[in-house]
Amino acid sequence: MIDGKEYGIVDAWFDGTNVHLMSHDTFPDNIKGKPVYQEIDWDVRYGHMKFRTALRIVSAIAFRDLRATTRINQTYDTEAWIDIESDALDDSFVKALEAECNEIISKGGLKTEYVWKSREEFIADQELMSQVRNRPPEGEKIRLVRIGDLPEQVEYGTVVRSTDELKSIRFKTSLVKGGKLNKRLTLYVE
Amino acid sequence: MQETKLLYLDDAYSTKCEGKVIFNEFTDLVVDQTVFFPPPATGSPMTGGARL
Repeated sequence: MIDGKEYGIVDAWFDGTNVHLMSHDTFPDNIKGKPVYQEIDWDVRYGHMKFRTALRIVSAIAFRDLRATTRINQTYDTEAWIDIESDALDDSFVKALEAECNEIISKGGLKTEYVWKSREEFIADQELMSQVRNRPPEGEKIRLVRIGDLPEQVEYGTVVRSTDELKSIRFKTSLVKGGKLNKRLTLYVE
Repeated sequence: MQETKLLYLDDAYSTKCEGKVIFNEFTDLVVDQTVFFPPPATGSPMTGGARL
C-alpha cells in the first residue's frame, strides 16, 4: 500500500457493470477494500457537459421536425459531432436548426431535468420508441433528459442544469457530402 | 463483482468522492463508487486523480 500516493487517471471506461479507472502507473497489489479518494478535472467534465447539452438540443429538434434518429455522437474537449439520420436533412434545415438552437439559448432559463422511466413505460411510449428505432436501451430503468418542452431523450451522460450555462452553439461543419459522414454535424459551444 | 455506483447519475456537478477498491490489476482500478464519468459514446479520457 502506498499511502497517500496520487495516481493520474488517463481514461475511464464502463464495462456495463463497473467503471475502470486507468492510470499510467501500476496500482499496488493487495489494496482491495482500501479507500480511494477521487477527484475529477472539473474543466474537462464541464466542457463535456456543455457539449452534451448542445447535442441533446440539436437531436431533440431534429427528431421533433424530421423524426430523425441520432444514435451516434461524440464529445471531445473542444468540439462534438452528431450524425443526423434523416434523408430530409438539407442545408436549409441545418441553418434553421442552428438558428433555433441559439434562439433557445438566448431566451435562457430552460432547465434540464432527468427523468427515469420503467422499461414498460418506455416501450409503451411510441415517441420514445421511434427515437430508438424500436430498440430500447438495456435495463429495467431508463434515464431520459428533458430540456424545456423539447422531446424527452435517452441520456446516460451529464448535461448542464440550464441552457443559461451555454452562450452559443456554432456548427463548424454541416453536411459533408458523400460517404457515411454526409449527415454529420460538428459543433462548438461557448 | 459488485457493481460500481455511478454517482454522476445523481449529481453531475459532484467533483469528489471516496470509494473503495473492489478490483485492481496493473494500471486498472475498479472502485465501488465513482464521480468519474465513463462516456459511453466518447473516447475522450476524463482526466483527474485518485489517491489511495
